Amino acid sequence: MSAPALFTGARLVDPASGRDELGWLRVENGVIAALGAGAPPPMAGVAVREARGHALAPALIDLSVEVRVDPAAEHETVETASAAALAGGVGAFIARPCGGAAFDAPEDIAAIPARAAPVRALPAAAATLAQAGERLAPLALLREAGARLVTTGSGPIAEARAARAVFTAAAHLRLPVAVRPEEPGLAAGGVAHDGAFAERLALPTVPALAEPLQVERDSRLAAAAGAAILFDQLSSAGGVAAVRRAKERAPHVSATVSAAHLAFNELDVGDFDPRFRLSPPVRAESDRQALIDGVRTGDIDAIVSGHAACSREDKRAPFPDAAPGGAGLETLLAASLALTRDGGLSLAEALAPLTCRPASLIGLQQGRLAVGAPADLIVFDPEAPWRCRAETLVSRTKVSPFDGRLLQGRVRLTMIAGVAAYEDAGERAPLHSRPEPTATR
Amino acid sequence: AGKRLGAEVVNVSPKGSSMAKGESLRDTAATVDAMAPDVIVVRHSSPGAAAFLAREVAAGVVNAGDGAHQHPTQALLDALTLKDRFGSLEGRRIAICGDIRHSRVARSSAQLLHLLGARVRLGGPPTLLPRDPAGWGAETATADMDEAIAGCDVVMVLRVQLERARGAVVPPIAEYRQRYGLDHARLARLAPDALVMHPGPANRGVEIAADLADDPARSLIRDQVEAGVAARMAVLERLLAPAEAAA
Repeated sequence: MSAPALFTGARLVDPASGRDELGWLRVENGVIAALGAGAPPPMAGVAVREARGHALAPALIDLSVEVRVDPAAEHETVETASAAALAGGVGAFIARPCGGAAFDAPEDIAAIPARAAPVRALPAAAATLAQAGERLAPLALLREAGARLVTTGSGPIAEARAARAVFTAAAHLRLPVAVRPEEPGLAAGGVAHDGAFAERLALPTVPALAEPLQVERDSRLAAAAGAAILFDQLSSAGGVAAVRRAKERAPHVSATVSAAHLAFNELDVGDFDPRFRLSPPVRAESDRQALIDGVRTGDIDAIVSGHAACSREDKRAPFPDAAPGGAGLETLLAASLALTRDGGLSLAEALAPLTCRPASLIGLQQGRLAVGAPADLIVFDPEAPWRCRAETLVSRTKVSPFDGRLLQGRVRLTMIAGVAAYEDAGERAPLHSRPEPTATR
Repeated sequence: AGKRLGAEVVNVSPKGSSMAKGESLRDTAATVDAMAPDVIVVRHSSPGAAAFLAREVAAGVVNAGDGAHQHPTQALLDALTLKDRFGSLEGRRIAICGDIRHSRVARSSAQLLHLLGARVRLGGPPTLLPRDPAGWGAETATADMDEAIAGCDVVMVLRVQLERARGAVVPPIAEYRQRYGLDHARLARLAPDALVMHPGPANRGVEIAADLADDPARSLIRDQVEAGVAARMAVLERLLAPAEAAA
């Protein structure tokens, strides 16, 4: 524990309460001790940090980050993802295994939180053994080992009876179940949106209809079992509408969208650009607009990075054969802030799906600027422009759909439990060179 | 085509090579590129394979077919065949018929013929038609074969992929032949002066009657084969000496 810290001259942004004003915030013993508008009252024995008008908000909470547990690989590990998270202002994330692996045994996940520290990495338990969709994984033991939610893997559980068993078990343990909604038969082998563009490219497609179909089925099964269900990374207007209907029918339905799906559409695939080989695929512009609307209305609860643990080698193949996904931790904030410019959201509204809403979905105390809440905070400049260069990202995943893009929004400080874990002075020209971050512990 | 131009030609095929054992395209590309070829001609089952290869190697890349995406040299030879026969393609009505959706020949030829001023129509079973024919360079896409070929100058017939016919997507062969098969009788009724093309290999007796395929008065299939070598020679020559060829 360090000395109490006092932020002054900060634009306090707290989506949970709607606060957006210049003020001060005091951190003590790892929690937020006090905060207020304007100038702070006189205080002694504090380390003062002048925010100079930058925004001060809860650190981001990312509900989908892929990691490889074995540290040898050239792929993203728990440790390297944690470093990338700090650079991106993410204080907590749900850790999912990459590719075919499954967190289906307590020993798989027990070490993850310690390895990610100070970032809070919360493992996602596999719903079934080896994610084969047949036999239940030991969910109670996995929860004891630190799991915060259950995931059905890269797709839903195909067999309805098995799905129902998973929902029942998870409901009993009060663990939400995250499902990637894609009707498996329709989606099989697909790598692109089934529009005219992919048809000309002759790419195998995932029909948009596959998403609402699966939302319908799984929301009803989950409701019957009393489980909380989280639809993971919607991609279509039909999916958003189906989630809205599911929310009207039953409680404990939620949904996420990835930052990339808010930014890109099917045309970005261009000349078979593997950076846009994503799962779910990027779809039509009308779908993208529906996803943005969904965030605005709250039909979509959280924005995730969908950070993938793939390497450059995994992407070096013809489009249908390239691994899906890309880096997302370091672009999550900037990509979401674009909603304040193009999507008509206020800063607090754009940050809600990154802070208080994901926190409430998995029962975290973080995600709000409130007395007594953990001091997981970020200071950021919402306007600062920078160009994303995949090869200079902190993450080991060096491919990104945002590669080469001009973004706005830069983290200057990430603090976890009252300790500054990442700082970026960023005085040099941000457009042409990426300032070296100076990490502090 | 390469040999006719005096080139050294090396064939790399999946059978009996490390590719059959699972070596990836990028590794094969690196191996081949290490031989410092001037041009790599690639035929691959994945759409986008040629675009991918072009980003990976220093050599020039010719797409000889990437999945169902494109077959540019086929389109060139088809256009060459028709130019030899008609002079100009402007306003010529050309029907492309068959399994359009899964055809790289349809994509490439419709696009090129449209660029050259022809009026392209697409015909085939409803499950195999594109939803956006205009984006393909075609005026219409129809499941009615008679409507597709009525009044056409040229009917280009595509091979029905028998392996797909066993799946749920293509109608059974007997139905296909009856509704979409091209023979003398159908042509006489709807397009009495039309010429017939086929990219080969043809399923004689299915999408095209054997006697029609062989009829020298109607069929351009032999001309296509001849044009094929010439077109590919031209492509290679162009790639190898682009500045000179453009002059």
